[in-house]
Amino acid sequence: MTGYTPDELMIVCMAREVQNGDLMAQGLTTPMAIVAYHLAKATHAPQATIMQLAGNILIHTTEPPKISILYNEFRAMENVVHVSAQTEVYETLFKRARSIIEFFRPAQVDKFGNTNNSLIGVGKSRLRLPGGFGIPDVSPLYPRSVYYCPRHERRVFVDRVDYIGGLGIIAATASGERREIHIISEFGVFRIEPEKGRMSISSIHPKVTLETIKENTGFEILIPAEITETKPPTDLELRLIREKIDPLNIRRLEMLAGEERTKALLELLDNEMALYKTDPSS
Amino acid sequence: MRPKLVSLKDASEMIRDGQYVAIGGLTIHRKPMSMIHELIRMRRKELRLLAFGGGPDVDLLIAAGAVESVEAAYVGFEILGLAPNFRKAVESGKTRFTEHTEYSIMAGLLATTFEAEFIPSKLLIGTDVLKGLGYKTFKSPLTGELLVVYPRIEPDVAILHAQRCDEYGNVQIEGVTAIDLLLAKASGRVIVTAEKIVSVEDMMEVPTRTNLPSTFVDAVVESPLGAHPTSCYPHYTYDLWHMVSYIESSRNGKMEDYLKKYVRGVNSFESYLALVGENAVKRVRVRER
Repeated sequence: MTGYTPDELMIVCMAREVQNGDLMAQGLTTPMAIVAYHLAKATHAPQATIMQLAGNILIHTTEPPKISILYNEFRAMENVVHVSAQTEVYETLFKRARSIIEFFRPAQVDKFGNTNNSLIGVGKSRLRLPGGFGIPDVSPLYPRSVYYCPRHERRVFVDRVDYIGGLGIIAATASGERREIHIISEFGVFRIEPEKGRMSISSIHPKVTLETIKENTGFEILIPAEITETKPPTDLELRLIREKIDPLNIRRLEMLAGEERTKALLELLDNEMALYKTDPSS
Repeated sequence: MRPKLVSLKDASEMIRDGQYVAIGGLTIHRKPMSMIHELIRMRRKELRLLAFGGGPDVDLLIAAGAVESVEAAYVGFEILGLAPNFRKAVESGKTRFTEHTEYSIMAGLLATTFEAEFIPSKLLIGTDVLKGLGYKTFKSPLTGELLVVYPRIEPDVAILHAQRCDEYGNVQIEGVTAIDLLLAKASGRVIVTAEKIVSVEDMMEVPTRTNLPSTFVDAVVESPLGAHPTSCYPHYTYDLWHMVSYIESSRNGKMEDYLKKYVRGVNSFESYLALVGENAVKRVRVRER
């Protein structure tokens, strides 16, 4: 297969963060995360389990299911092994924090790895976002956090977040805390250096330059002596994403905003309805 | 067990101006929309809302001028983006918003249901969410560690939408239950609207499916499609088309027209559904298994 889109490469990078046996938690509105989970399960992490918020459920699948925009909860309920309430989801997170992976999508992330999904800007021009939901609760509990930022822009990668939701690593060495934070964007993979509490580059995506990253990052990013290139998706990974898991291309919605996204969404709905009419089981 | 079946109108009379009202469901899933519409028609005002994940429920009540304040961990339309009227009202300072997290809401409700004054925990220390909540901290008498006081959360009324219930208020909720059961247990009074009222004998067939017993419920209302345009698994999925047009109404300054057409200008939720249209409703319905 030739070529791939930025969202496909990001999904592959996300899937590679999953370890076999992980409990993969999915929050709200994160199609890229769910594609990455199914991809990880279908490749190197068959024993990983998905815990999905829409349903408060544990899902068991042996074959990756096709993801849906209209029937997300319905599809999940077809593969459910246990249904609980959200209190139990938290009991699970607290008990199993060490083996949980959850992909967060911050509206802002800073050089320390603090995240913000709540308020952008100050004073009268403040933009009110939906809120951090569970991110501020659990981010300090996970030994390994993974954020994904489809749009690598200065207004996303900021020197300091306007509102601290999820906690980054600021004084990690002082407290003896051992946490890893990895950030996957359209341009590369980054991490917060635990010793320095600062963001550095893990790998740069093919065809992306260091200049592009610097230009689009609102703070000085640490640059390692040797820069590695992100391994591109394999044919198998691309085939799984495009044919098995997300043939409708729902993942693309996360790369779009505003009217462009609404338009793409309405098109997707038409496509899914057409598919559903011809084959309700798909 | 006493019968608790009432009309939507009678149930809405249980909610008074200025009360602290908890709304069940999650974002665009299983929201008690028929009750929300009725509260708007009854011209309720100064409501103080609590939602775990708010969506069209919170947004519509704000658009109708029924809300004084909102407490929630999230208010948005998921993949459709921001809740338009919520956003405007909070940004302009018209509606007071206190951002919670999942934990801060659950801890407060659990304190209430377990007859504790508060729950002490170190979660959220260092975040701006905690600053916004204004919760006190103290040193643990056991370890000296700094802890947050998560005080009781005790709504006056909780409104939930369920798939099935009997006339006594035994309730079966399927799919995402979010924190509905906890909300019911921590709230002073509980109103449940349901897709279908079934006989108590039907409920007894699989008693383990009853996840909220009648002991916690004060009123039940039959309200088929009562969550529209949000979803109600396994009966129907969310009407994303309707929600897109709703968001456009708000964006184009036509929110009053929306309210007049779909809520204030009709006398029942059935009339609203008729306006939405048979084909639109058919589109979201999922064949019964």
